[in-house]
Amino acid sequence: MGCDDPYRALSATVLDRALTPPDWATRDTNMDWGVRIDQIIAWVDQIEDKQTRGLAAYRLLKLFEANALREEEARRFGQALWRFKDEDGLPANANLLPHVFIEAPGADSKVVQEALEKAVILPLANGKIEVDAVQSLASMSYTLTAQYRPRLIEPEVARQIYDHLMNWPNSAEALNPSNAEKAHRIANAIPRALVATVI
Amino acid sequence: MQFLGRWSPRSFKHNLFDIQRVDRAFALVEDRLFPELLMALPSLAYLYPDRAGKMNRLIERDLLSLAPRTVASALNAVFWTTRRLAVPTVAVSQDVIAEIVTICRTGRQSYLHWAVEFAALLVKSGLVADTDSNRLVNAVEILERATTYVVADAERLADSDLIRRAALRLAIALKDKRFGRASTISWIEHAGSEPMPEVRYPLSDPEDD
Repeated sequence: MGCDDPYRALSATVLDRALTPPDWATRDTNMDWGVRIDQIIAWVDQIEDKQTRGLAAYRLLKLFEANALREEEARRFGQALWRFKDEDGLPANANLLPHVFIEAPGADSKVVQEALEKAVILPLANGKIEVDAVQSLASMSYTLTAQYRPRLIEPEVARQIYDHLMNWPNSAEALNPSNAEKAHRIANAIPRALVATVI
Repeated sequence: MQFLGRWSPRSFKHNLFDIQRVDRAFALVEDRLFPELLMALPSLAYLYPDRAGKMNRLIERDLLSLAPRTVASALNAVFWTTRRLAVPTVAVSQDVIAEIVTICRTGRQSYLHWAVEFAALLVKSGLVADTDSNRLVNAVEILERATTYVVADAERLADSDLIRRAALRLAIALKDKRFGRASTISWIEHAGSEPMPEVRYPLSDPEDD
């Protein structure tokens, strides 16, 4: 396809170059990446500080999603991530929504499923409507690459969750004006959770 | 974005939700207590197809809303119905389609780029009548001119690239259905040199949603 305006054509070429995804296959020749990744893994592994550990874990997770971690790096990331656990059995201070751990490295699928029951499914079935739990309920039926992969929940539990979500608009929390931002996030997450996982 | 694949409810075979539960959701939307829930109504109408008419009336009503969040929910419902469910028993009505076409033609502000994207989806799905397709051809011309980089519309500057991308996708969908004018076809032919990369996405990824 041609272009009559050379300036626009040039702009397009420059932008294309700037936005072309990096070629991860050439990473082996770039030692700086490895050093930096080791450093970030060390932050996840050694520091219980929520902010640092959370930021480091998020950064490594994005690299893992992009298939940019070497196998050995992903293994060490997984070990570091699961080193500190919270009361539900999920990585502590990782500052990530619970459903993320389904596909994060180092996860034992049985442990994750049990932890998700404790952290997400049961609280919602008992009427404890928290924004992170509702968002995780919506997202747990999608893979990291956004493919739909429905997560099955027990019919009776699904019914309980549905009933509590239907009652949420009349709850004190939803009606509290000082809670508007949080209520807005929950309101957006509920229909997604319903169509993706509950219904 | 990735194509997520078609959705089907698991509860269909389990008979999980009785009609009273389903109607509770419809009532929350109808009473404007929970406009976001509109997105879930197509899935519930799938379980009870006789609720599809009511679903369409609520979508049409909320598309006409002046509240951006409500319009967004209605557009989400259209997307879910057309793209994810895609079953004849729960299809968007011609009245809903006509309203989306009107939003595209008038350039109504709230979530305009979504409306144009979903108009393209409706055209690709073969759901838009010839009259409305011709109105959309006119809409593409208007949107292309309104989002040129030279004549920046200050109020719409933040999402003009998204609107332009959606308009290009709509132009391609219309052309594939043999609708279009010389000016829009020429735009498609030259779109490879659009300065903003996101505007060019429809050329390389026609299935993007």
